Amino acid sequence: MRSRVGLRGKLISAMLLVGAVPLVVGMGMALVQGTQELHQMAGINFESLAAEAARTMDLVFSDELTRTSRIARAPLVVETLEAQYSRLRKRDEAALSAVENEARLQWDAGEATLLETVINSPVADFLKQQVARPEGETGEIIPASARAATRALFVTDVRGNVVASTTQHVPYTVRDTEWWRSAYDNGVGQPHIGNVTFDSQLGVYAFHLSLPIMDRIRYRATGVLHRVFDAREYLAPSLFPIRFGKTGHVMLLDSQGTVMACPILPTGSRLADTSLIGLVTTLQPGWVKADSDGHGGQGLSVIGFSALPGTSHLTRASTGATWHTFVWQAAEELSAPTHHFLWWLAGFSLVAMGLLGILGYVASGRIVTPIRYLQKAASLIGRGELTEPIAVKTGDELEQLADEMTRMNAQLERAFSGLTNTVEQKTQEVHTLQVVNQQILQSVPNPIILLDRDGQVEYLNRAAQRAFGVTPESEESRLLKDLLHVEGPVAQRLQAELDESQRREDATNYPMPMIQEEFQDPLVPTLPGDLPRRPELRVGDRLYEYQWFRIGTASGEPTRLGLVFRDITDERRLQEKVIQAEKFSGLSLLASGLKHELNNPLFGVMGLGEVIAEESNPQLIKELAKDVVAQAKRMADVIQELTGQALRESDDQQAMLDCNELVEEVLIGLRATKAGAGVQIRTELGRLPKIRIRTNELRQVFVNVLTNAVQAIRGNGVLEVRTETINGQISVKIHDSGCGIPSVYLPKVFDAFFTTKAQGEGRGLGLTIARRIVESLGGQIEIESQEGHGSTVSITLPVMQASECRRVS
Amino acid sequence: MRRTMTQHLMIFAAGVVLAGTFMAAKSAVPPQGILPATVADYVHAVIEADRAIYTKHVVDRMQEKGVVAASENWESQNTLPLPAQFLIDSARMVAKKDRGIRYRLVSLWPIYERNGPATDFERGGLEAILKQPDKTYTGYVQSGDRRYFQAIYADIAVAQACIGCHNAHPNSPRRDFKLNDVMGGIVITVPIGP
Repeated sequence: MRSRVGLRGKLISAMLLVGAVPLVVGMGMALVQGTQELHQMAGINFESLAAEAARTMDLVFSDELTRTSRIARAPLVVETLEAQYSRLRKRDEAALSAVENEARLQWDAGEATLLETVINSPVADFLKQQVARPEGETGEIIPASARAATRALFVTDVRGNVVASTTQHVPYTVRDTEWWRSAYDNGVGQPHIGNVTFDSQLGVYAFHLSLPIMDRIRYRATGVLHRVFDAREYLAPSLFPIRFGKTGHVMLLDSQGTVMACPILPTGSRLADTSLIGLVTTLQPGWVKADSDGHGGQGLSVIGFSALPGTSHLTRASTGATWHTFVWQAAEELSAPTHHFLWWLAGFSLVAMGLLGILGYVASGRIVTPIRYLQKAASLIGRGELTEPIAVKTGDELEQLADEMTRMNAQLERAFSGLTNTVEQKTQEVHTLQVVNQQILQSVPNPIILLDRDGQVEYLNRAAQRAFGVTPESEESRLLKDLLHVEGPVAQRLQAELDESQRREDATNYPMPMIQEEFQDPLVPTLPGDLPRRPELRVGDRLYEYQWFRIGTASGEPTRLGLVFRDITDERRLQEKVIQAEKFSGLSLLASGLKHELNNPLFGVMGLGEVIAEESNPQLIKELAKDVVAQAKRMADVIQELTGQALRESDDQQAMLDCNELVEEVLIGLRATKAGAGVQIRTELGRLPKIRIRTNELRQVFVNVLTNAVQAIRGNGVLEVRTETINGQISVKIHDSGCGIPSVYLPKVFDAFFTTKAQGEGRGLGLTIARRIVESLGGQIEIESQEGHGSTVSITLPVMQASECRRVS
Repeated sequence: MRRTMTQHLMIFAAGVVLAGTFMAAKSAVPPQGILPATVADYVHAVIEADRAIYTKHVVDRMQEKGVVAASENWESQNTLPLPAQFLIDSARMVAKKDRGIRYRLVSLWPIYERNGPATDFERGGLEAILKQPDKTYTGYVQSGDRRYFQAIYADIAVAQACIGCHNAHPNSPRRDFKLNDVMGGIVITVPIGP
């Protein structure tokens, strides 16, 4: 349940995230970029607006200058001032000063005569007329604002004293004012446009337009025409109509930051932010982003500005100041489109997110529902309960997955049914195996004990139970030594062997060689003498030999040990009897041989003795005595042969000898005998190295063997002699086609006094002697025989023996 | 270059002569005074030469090379003063010296009214030099109680800058000037007597 909700939630939140991130980034970028571009655009707009307004104001001032200069060039004014100049030139300075001082006092006091001459003179009338007239001299229209804003129009002479005026609210002497000095310019004369200042007499913020009145030939200035404008009233009609938005407007200010005219700020006030003044009063038009708007507002503002090019040329020459337009709009209003756009975007985003959420819900439903179905199907498969095909028809990978799962389910079912059969079969097999094992173990006559790792007896087969007197009930948890009733050193030895077996296994996990050797078949009969004897153990009155073996199990499980016993009590007893019997039989054979060999001469001696005893002929007695000695010698020979003394005593010298020569020599001798007459002798004598040897000894060997062979043939037959060198050894094979030796006699043929010949034919020492000689030479003698088909005697002699002898000698 | 040097030398020589003349006039009244017309000629030569140098070797050259142009509002626009402004401002400077002699530019088609003919004499003179540019129009005029000698020299459009500006300026009453046209005159005024 949790995962289902999770998947749907994840899908929806992923979709929302995918939608929201670009939206937020986009909004951020739109805000930054939009604000940037808006400011850029506003700045450029404001700049061009400021420049436009500056040009307009330039024209206004230029027109004003032209109109006012016409008044200054009016013949009445020019002639009046020229005459005044001529008059003043003729009087001395002191007189003029006195008159001026008196007139100034009268003017300040409002003396009627003086006022009359100044305010109601023809020139004054002309001036009033100029101010009142809607049309100029040449018929051009004079703007009403220019006329209405004119607070004073008056004329001063070369000494700065008022000559004619439209109003009495002007000072009598303006000689010390900057604007008079600048306009008169020491008689050269130049137009002067003054900054906006507060005129206390007129009670307004005003700016002065002062134009020199040149003489008739424009040679020199003879006076100055002053026109005083109410700054706000004069500029308002030109500036204030330029509005945009709610707060956007143009204002005019001078380079000192004094506001000349502004719809919002009072004329004559200074820009609140003085740092702004430097920014906006450059000679080049431009726009800035400033931290304040100059109207008391803080916050980022865009301001366009432009100097009045023509007018500033004049004002620079007059006062050093320049005049500038200043275009501004409140920051809130300026950024309103951005905010509006942002709100709109936010609204759109909300709608988009909502749509995305719905879309995500629907889409995730389409994905999650089949997945849920698949999940159920999978759990059914897990329980093995799914019987119908999974019905997901989405036409996409999910449907493919469902089909795959259906297929998988079918295959699983098949596989499981097969597996169940196999398991049952295998279980049956295992069971059978167990039974077979059990039966084999139980039917084996040897006691078998299985131990666990602690040396506790785990299992005894029936033979073991019987042998060790254990009932099936009491075999639980019994130690080996208790079971076998052993104590002391025997028990210690068993424990040591057990430990050794386990230790070896722990150390190397390599089976013990002694056990492994006969693990496969512990019942194999032992070969006497060849193998080391197995350990033996006496239990009660029975003797057992036993063998440890290991029961290999699957990897990971502890290996167990077992013991197999074999009861050798009877075998050992029988063996001892056989040995005893063999001893006796050899001794009796020896005794009978000795009796036989010695009896004949002994009886001869005894007979001769009786004859001698009765014989009186000394000659005969002597001869008989010789016979007695001969018989005794024969007996001595027998004894010597038996002990081998005879050969060694003989004068046998070592010599380099070719065995072939010796064989040939013996064969020649044999052919001459009666037995060898009908024997066909074949020889195949290979090339042999010479060996150093006692000739008589080896001749004795060949004589004995070849004589046996010829005698075995008994008349007609074949004797084959073959000599060769094999692996550095001399091999002599002697084969006869005689009667052969029965296999029961074969092991005894080399025993002393054993013979198959008739009484008196052989002494039974031939092969015994031959073997002793061959073995003394380091060689071997073997005999093979098949009854009725003859025998083969193989003699091998080492060649090395000869070289060794040579080295020694 | 050689030509330029020569012109400079001529200007210098003229200046020296002019200065010498004035100094001599101040220090002692010579039995035979220098004629006002001669003085006007001297001064005109200097004015003419200075403006020609400025026009050709500064304004024209800078404009052709695209370094800097000349315009009316040269202070706010960081440009060069027009040749006419050069002359007018020079005249203001001369007037401020208060040596008596003053000159100004006048025209029958002035961009600014103040540069139109002030008197009938000037109007007549301008019309006369329009017909005979190479002949100086001279005469004596009265202003108040003082007399002055005035000489009006034809002012020829010697450079493209002159006609370019006058043909294009919104205030200009005439816009069909060509090179070497008489655009107006230089009025040189010399006071006579005390």
